[in-house]
Amino acid sequence: MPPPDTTSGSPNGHLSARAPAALALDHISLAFGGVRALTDVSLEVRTGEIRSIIGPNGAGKSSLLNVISGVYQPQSGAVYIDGVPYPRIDPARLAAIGIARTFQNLALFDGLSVLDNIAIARSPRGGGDLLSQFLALPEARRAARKAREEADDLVQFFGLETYRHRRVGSLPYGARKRVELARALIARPRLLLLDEPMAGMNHQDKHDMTQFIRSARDRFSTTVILIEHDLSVVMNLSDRIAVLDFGNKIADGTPTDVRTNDAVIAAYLGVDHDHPQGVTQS
Amino acid sequence: MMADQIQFFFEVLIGGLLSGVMYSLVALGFVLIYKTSGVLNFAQGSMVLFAALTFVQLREKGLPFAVAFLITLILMAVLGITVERTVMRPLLNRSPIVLFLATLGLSYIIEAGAQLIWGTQVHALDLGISDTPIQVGPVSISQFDISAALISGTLVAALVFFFQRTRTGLTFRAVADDPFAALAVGLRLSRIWALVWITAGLIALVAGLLWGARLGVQFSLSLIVLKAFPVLVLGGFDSILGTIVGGLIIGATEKLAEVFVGPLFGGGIETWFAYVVALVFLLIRPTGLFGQKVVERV
Repeated sequence: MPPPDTTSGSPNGHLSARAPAALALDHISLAFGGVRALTDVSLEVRTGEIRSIIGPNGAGKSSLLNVISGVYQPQSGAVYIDGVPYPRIDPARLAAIGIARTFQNLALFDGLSVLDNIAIARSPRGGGDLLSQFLALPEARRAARKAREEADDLVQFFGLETYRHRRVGSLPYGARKRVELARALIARPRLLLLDEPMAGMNHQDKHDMTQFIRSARDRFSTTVILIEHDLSVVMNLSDRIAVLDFGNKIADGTPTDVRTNDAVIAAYLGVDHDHPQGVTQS
Repeated sequence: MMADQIQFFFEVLIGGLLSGVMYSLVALGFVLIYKTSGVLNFAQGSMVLFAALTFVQLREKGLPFAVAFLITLILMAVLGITVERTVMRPLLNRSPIVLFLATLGLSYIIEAGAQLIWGTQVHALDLGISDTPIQVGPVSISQFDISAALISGTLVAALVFFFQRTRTGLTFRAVADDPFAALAVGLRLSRIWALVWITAGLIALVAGLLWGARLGVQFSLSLIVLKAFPVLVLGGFDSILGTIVGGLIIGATEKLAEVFVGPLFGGGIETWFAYVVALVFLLIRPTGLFGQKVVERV
């Protein structure tokens, strides 16, 4: 995959018009029993952009993320990654497909050090089998050193130097969020899924995290998809934003487009549901 | 007179410490599986027996040591993988007591299987290590004890190296720390668990050879699991370092108690003294010396 153009921070600066979308959701519908979580949602994510999915509670944001990461299997619709259709995404093989994610409630190894937490997600590119690891053969040693270097690199990138050998469980919350982001990045994902990266953070943490996400995108040439509650963060960080409400996509566009969209305002501020204006409901 | 006393004390202490290393070895098999899959594998003892029996039979058929060792190791690996696939995996996410009872049942099945294949006779196992005492300074120590401790110690050191320094070891620690997070980063749990059971099989084999050579290969060999429990209580169920220290403490106190306190009770306290120590420990320090403290937020 050619590295995307990451020279500009402007909303449409990362596009290569002809390349297939980094991710395309084609008419996805997902229901749990009678409850429709997603209705006919289509979404395109361009390579190298920061794409946010927002919406009120229960709008289907998490469901959408779980469809992309293979946790849920939609009843209809298709997922394309770099133009390749994936009828079924195996959550266990996510890293191999090139998708890494973070979790709203963190999924870190609390008992392991920061360095180990990051290094473990590095997909073993060579590095030898068990025996050569055990006998510390040159090839295995080289791979181990490489993994350590890469992990160290990320530790520095995310300003975690002082915590390097600390148990992750003993770190402040904001730092743990950064460790999780670093761990996602060491796998060199094409797609980085962030599930509420700002949840539970204070103002300063949010500011830092916004910077980290943006510079991580630039440095590692990855495409970022995030769902987030904090609208000011989303408006500031995103290239494009899709808005969900009751499982339907009600708006899609640049932050400016979305900010002034009547349906979005209605969804967030509430409308008289007997006379919905612009809100399509099923 | 006094010098004799001190010399005798040290002989007993060293003998105790050396046999303690062999307790550690058995306990290690438990810790490995408990750490990585949360299962207290009661069948570890019957795996020890199975390994020893298989090895001794192969030897009696005239196979050289290395070949017999290799074949037994392969069989242990097959056994481990089979257990993981057919028993542990279907019971995944069941409560610990269900898993424990499953391994309890498993231990009888493995024992019966070993009996079916190899018969019920007692076999002598000669590893070619002489058991004559040697003099170290003024203290005489059993050569066999020293060799057994050395072998056990090497295996333990190799395992520690493996856990701390290799990538696969890191994945073992990660799975032990949080299986959910392990899934989230795409670790293949089933492969890791299979490897864990194979490693436990290797430990069982070494333990089986050493204990088999000491006690004779017979069915009571599977009861050495019971010796491992006090070690685990002392060292913590999830600490490799703990099993070593726990084993040393149990081995030493057991022998010292037998020799110096035993006469007050008319002797024979070696068989149960370790459990008294373990019980006291349970009361004052339930997580053991090195076990992870459970801190719960309420």
